[in-house]
Amino acid sequence: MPNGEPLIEVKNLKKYFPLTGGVFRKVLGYVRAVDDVTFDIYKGETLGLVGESGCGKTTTGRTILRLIPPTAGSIIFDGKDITELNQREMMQFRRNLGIVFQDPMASLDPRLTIKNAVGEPLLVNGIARGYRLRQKVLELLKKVGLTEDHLNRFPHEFSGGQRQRICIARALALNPKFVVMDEPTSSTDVSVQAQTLNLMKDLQQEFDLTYLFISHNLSVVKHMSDRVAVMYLGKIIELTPRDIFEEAMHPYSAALVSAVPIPNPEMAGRAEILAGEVPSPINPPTGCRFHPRCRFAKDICKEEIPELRDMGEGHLVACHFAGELDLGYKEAVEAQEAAIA
Amino acid sequence: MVASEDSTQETHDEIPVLEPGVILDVRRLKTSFYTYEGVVKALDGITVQLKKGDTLAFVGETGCGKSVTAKSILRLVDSPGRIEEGEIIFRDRAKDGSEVVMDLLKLSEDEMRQIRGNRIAIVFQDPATYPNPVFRVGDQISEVITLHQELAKDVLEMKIERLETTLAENPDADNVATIQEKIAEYRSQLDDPPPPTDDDKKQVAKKKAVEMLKMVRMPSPEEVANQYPHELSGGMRQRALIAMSLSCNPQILICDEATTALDVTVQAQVLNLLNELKSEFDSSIIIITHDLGVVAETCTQVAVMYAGVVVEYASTEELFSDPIHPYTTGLLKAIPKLTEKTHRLLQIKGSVPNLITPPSGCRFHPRCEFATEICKKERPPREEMKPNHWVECFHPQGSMKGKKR
Repeated sequence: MPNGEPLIEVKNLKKYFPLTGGVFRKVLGYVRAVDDVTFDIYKGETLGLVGESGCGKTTTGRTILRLIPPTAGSIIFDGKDITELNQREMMQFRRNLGIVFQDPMASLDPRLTIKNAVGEPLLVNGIARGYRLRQKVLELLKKVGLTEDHLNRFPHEFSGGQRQRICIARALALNPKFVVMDEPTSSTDVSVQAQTLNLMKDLQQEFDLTYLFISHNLSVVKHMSDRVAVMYLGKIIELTPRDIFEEAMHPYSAALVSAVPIPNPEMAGRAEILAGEVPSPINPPTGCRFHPRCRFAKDICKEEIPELRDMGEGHLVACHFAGELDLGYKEAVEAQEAAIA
Repeated sequence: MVASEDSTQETHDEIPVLEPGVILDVRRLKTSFYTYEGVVKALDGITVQLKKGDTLAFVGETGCGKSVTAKSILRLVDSPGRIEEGEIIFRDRAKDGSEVVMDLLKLSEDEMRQIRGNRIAIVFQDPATYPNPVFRVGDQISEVITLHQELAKDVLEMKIERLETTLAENPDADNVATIQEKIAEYRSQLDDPPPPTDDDKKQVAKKKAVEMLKMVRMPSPEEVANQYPHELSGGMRQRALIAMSLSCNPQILICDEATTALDVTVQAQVLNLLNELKSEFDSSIIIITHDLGVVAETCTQVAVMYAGVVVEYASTEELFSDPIHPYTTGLLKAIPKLTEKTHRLLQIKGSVPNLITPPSGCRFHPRCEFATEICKKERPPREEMKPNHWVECFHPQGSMKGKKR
């Protein structure tokens, strides 16, 4: 919760991927996937991270876990800067971290049985082997709703929802403190999605976990998260402890919220259609990165990069005109309420 | 009223009967796939109607047969799949304006080729794999146009237009008389145009392709026509595919998860475009999706599918305000809502069954909280429980709760 103490402090995190070309692999430019991002994740909370594809959500998640080395910035986990750990120390430290990937088929080795897949982290870290390993794996599988029969099966014998459960069991094997959920339900159907989301909420309570929940589906993020961060072209443009769907202050967040199709036919045609598409992160627009698509853009937006400003109660917005704009998304929210009632 | 029985007599009629205003009528369609592991009964008696000017949605989870229905309508089901029985009645507009009613399943492959892509077009799910990567976007669209349209008249019109512009540019030239003669000659041919040369055809088709790209609000269409698919973004590629599908002015456009791979903001653009184009082109649309939000935003009719069966079919307002089938109610409750903060989502227990050995009786019974003995034994009949609201269920919910059995 916002008044708790931070588990992870991300400070000025940058990740640039070099673009090379020519005979000598000369560096021609950089893809600025994550560009100067600062935020905290508090103990026991779920921080949602939303944005369109290519905005740097996944890169942020992986860089925090040091699965990709950051270009600059620091990641302080429980008071310790993990960007400064060496390989050996990092190996030890990884026990505290878990990740569930987007595509459960691609993230499970097709030639490993479930017992071996879930048991591998336990074996590698020397926590259990032999009969005890089997018992521990079984315990984990039961936690995610699978049974003893499943132990010796291979990934292809499972449905998508079950595979995602296996991935969750594997992520929890070492009793981590922090788990990155990278689009865990984007490849599953609504009924299975509901099962998976409920399971993740239950496990969070049981194991006292902290989640970074990455998704492009705003309704899912809203359901799961305590706070929500919105990313656009490698930058966090809004971070709110309140309900982003009622309190969005950045024009992009408001447009994103209004573009979500609402299952209520009376609301059809309410979406604010954003013109154009996300620009290239190789050569992002000057000033505010959203200005070419923003209907409120003024001259200052082209020149100055807006800082994240606190608009009260830890609601951070990176917009020159935050709080001064009439974003007109209230209607959508009211209609949604009407749909429920 | 039980639909499956009172329409059985029509099956052997030579000219199929079609209600007025209905453009496509799928009746008791069954499609199976003959795999090594057994026969997958992918569609088990689908009955739906598409009215002119409507947007019909097929909604359901993965493997429920949404895409197979679309492919069956276009007769694109590949081996080992086979359309076993049923009728797909389609009302087409002939060139002279008269109406032709036909059963698509009884046409020969050559006749079908005249329909496919021309009268009924489809936009597939993944815009990254569908366009051919080695041809320019404009060439791919013009290929469709040259294949399906007789461009003789358009070629003549193009020639006349060109001569007229040269006349307008220099009215004092020496050959004014010959040019005017030529124009008059072409004009006289307009009613019965001579077959054009391939070269002329290509030029006209290219011009039409650019017009189509303009229609789908593509930025700088002339440039895009000369680009390759990989040079376009996902949203632009999907626009190009829609342009290609609409280029022959089809009666029906089928969008098979056309916006699933796109981001929400781009999805909103594409859905908006589809709705605008529908009225511009005077077509009907079938949208296949798993997103009930998309359905509510764009469709007028909805068919909810489960395991190869249309369990509920109604207008969009009706379905969302009064869902009757337990599967539909469950599906609506399983979606996380934007404004509601709940700790738990309602979940439908279990998962979609294997269709090689589908559950007996009602295919939804193993996951249904209301299931009783009869659900295991008998398949519920397709009933019109409320006006224009068809449901297959023994234990209806919503406003029909407790009114049956």
